[in-house]
Amino acid sequence: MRICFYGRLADLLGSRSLDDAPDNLTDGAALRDWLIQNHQQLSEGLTHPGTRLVLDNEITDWDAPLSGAHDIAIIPIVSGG
Amino acid sequence: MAARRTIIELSERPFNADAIAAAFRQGSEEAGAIVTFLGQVSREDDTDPVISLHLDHMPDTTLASIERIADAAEARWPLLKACIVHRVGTVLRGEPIVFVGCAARHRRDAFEAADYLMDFLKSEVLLWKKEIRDDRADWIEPRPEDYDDKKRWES
Repeated sequence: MRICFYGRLADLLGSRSLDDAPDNLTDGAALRDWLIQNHQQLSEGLTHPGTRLVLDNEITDWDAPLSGAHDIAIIPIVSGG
Repeated sequence: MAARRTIIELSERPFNADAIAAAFRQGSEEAGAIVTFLGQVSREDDTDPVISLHLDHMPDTTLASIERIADAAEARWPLLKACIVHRVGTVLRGEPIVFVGCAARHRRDAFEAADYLMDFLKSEVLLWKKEIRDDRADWIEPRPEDYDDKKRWES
């Protein structure tokens, strides 16, 4: 499963994306928990209340199922232009 | 649904605001008012000035977030046309970062629509902005006043 990160989250990760998340994670909350456990440098960013899950270019709730999503991204609070 | 009357561009490269404004005026003969706004990267702080901004974005999703703002403006004011050009990537101090143009039959519609577009571009668009200074780089979040500016349009 490929996950993309933007803004501060990409900086914390040191990369735009990672590919090591297992495919059996059912929803966004499970993905977030897995990321906090396995990529602890993301913890601060992932627990920020403004951090959101994006599935196929749509911002969704963390309990949204991941099955069927082609593009998965996690974004920090936006700064605007 | 009517075709969108706003031209929207995300630019990875510096843009020529004068050329964009001139092109926007062309074909606006029906307009009684054309309002244009240009935002530039400022120093922010004289003692520790910003050298550049880096704007991270998600190409399709960021564009869609601007389209939603443009559609809301078109629904609220009788715009003949509008234009939004926004930089992404690295933008040096003094360079243009955003251009907004609004053409309407009457000036108040053009003024208000441009003001509205900027208030929402400043707080709603999916962009992540990092200020680069001599000794550090800081990711920026909207300021309380950015949200206050947006609230003006809720009534």
